[in-house]
Amino acid sequence: MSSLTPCKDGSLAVSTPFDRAFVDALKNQVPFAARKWHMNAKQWLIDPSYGPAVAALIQQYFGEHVVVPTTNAAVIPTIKLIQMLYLGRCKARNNGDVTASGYADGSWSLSFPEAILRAFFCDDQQQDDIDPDKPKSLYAILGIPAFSEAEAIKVAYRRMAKVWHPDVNHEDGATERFQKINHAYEVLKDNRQRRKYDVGLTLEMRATKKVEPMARYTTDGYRAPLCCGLLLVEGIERLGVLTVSNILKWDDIIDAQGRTMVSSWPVGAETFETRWI
Amino acid sequence: MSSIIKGSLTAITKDKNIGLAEAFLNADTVILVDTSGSMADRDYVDGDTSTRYERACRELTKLQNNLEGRIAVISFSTTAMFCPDGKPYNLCAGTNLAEALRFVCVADGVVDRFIVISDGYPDDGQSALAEARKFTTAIDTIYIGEPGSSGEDFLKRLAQAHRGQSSTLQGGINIAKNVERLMLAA
Repeated sequence: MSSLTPCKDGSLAVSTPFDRAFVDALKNQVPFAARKWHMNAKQWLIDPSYGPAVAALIQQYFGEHVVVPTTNAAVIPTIKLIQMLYLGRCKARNNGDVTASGYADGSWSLSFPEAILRAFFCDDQQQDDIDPDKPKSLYAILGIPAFSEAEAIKVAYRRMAKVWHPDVNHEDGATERFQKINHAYEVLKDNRQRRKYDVGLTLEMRATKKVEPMARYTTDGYRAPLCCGLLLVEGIERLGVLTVSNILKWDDIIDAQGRTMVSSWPVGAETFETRWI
Repeated sequence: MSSIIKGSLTAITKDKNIGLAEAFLNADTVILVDTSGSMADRDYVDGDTSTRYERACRELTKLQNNLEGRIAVISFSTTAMFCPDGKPYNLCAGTNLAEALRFVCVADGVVDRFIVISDGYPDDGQSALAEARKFTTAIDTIYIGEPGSSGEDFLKRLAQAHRGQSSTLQGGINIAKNVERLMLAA
């Protein structure tokens, strides 16, 4: 029995028996940006504006008449507490956005625009021209604002070292990243060196030319310094995916024994792995 | 786009694949170069037809080639600019030394010395002296204009007030040797 069911986020859930021809026709009728296959529920989520078109396809392929329900068209931002098990690397999507997908609640149900991640981890390269190979500031390597104080540096170092230690993180580039984290801490932990580094950073910021904000985010592959966590986020849910507009808090996932979860996607593996340390 | 001087902070960033702020960790001297309109004058010292600005650029190039990564170059005129590529931007306006000192005061206490290279009296000498009074690090001066002028006298007073040394090098001859002497004496 086929149906079109309204979802909380305003999308429509399409339930039908499996039919390859129907699926092809749906993909042809509903643009990529307006549909999403929900792995767990085994159904399509579609933008409600395509409800009548999909209802017509259901009539055509299954001989069933389904009523197109009305949905709540208002898009209301939501704040959610989420246990995210893995955050991938930013990629350019079909619609031109550059986002990283997050895995939570059994599916890839989170989408983080690169700008949001960079803003949260203070990895904003807007002070310099477009150069993907330009070394990050030592503060950005530790995921903290520039000119942070000693205590914040120490806390950030411990967190990053845990996440990126090659013994627990088997992602491509983890060893190199771990070395950079260690080097950043070696420089910034010394008050005198940090003070001089801050002077250099101030002069560097003054010397940098402004660039078009949009141009910066054409780079692919930004990797946030953290891969998992307990997040408090604000965003808009659509087609089963919460697109995050603001990260309010990012804590470690800690179990009853006080261990911290770290996750990584080993090179060549089919999926990510998590472990407690 | 200016070319990058060998031994400048930008050159170090490229050689070592580090950021500019990190390259600055090894810098111990900040050189403030006057690039006001008068630096376009020619002194014809030893038959050299270069302008004072061109001469200063050549000397700074030699300096940075010899003392890689140790010099931060600041160009000043009406405003001040950090020139990590090693060649001072030719700003060609007034001589606002007070503004230049305000610009570099962030480095006071973390570098070994400041060296002011100028060919004339600043637009507002009193303000410049007032800014310099806030510094704890030595300020040396190198005068490269006509000897016997009020500018030469001002730069001598500025250096004396801040445990620095003053030199007069008409036309900017031997700036590099003079600066190296100052840095080695530190």
